[in-house]
Amino acid sequence: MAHLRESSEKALKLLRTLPRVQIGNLRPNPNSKQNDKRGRAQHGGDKHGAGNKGSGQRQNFMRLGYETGNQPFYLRFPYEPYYKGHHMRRQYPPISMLQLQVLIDTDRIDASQPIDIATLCNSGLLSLKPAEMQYGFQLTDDGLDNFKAKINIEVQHASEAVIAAVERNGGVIRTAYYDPRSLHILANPKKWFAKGIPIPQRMLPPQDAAEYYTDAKNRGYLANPEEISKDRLVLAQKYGYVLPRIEDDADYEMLTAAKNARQLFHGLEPGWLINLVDKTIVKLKTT
Amino acid sequence: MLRHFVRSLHTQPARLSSFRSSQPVQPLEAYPEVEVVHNPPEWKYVERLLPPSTVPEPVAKPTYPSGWQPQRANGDNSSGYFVARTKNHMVPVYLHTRFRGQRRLTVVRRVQGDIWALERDLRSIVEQARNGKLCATRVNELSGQIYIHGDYVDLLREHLKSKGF
Repeated sequence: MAHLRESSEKALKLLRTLPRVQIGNLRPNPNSKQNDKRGRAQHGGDKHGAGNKGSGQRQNFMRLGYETGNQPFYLRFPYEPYYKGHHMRRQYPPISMLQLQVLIDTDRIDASQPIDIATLCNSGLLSLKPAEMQYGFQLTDDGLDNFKAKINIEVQHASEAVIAAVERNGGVIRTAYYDPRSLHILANPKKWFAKGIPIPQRMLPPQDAAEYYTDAKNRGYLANPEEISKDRLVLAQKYGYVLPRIEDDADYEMLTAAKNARQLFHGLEPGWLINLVDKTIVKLKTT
Repeated sequence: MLRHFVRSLHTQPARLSSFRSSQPVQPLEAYPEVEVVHNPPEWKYVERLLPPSTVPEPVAKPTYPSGWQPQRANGDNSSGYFVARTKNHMVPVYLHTRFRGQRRLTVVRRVQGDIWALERDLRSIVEQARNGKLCATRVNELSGQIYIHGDYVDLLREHLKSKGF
């Protein structure tokens, strides 16, 4: 027994010096891997797994969808273009009113300033991809009853209930169109300023969007302001709330701040060049 | 000629442009005169467009209409455990879905202290919601995570918030 104990101790001693069994020093089980070489000799070069007769033996892999002479499934029915032009349609990623209220409660958004795409993207929690046909945000009505903030917000799409919920709290909502290039700038303004290119002009909406953005019911930015103020009263009566008077509000200036139809940023004109390093603005000389 | 016409039709000249079609640099006189404004009054609008470099600390408010609330409990409370908030000041309760939503796991992360006591508490809460039916849980003591079978994210998040976490 002595020699057995001696050898087991010896084995344990050896084992202690060896590395642990782990994924890095394992090898596959013998014969668990298929050989990727194809035999060519008398016994290896038989059928190579391709079978004995016909199409299979010749390894004739038919094209996808081909049904050996039948009318293929993909051609059997007439074409119905449900999704015609889907890759060209404008998308508006949703933000719910609850999400917006959380952003305001956790101070990710400053509600004492006008809110636009740049504010939402700068919160770090929302992002916009203009290259993937995203044309801005739509405000959806989830958590509408818990929305209590007084804001001046500019989104790209909003339903009637959402407009009512914002205006009930004494806020202002506006829907506005931005062309893809402007959206690209608004999604990350700091990066744009670092490029050293003057702020471009914002384009007007395309023909199929013009109707939406000139309608006072949608609070479109191209709508007649008088019609909008009239429609605010109509909506207040429809939803049964007293419309707070913006004229008497302490934040009158913030609530009425609006961009020009050609303007990208609040307070900054197109054509200006922002220098973040020297903290200067290059403007056109007025004579 | 036609190419120029087509380009003028496009509302987005930047999309189809390349270095070949861009205008070469003109003599300086061809450009409009500009002035560099130091300390411009509009700089406050630029500052508003710069994102904060860190996640801001939420300022205390009288009410939180969204249902979010700041953390009230300290690390050394009587229950013996602590659930830290995430960097975005949220309660770390998540839903993991596997197999196309067929398996749903509720994950509570960032647990410090007596993780087994928290697991017992959460399990009793879930079993109460399931009318006394048993609930399978798994504890990863090392990483401070508790896995609970089923979707109880809202329930457990509200429970943790009510305890001040």
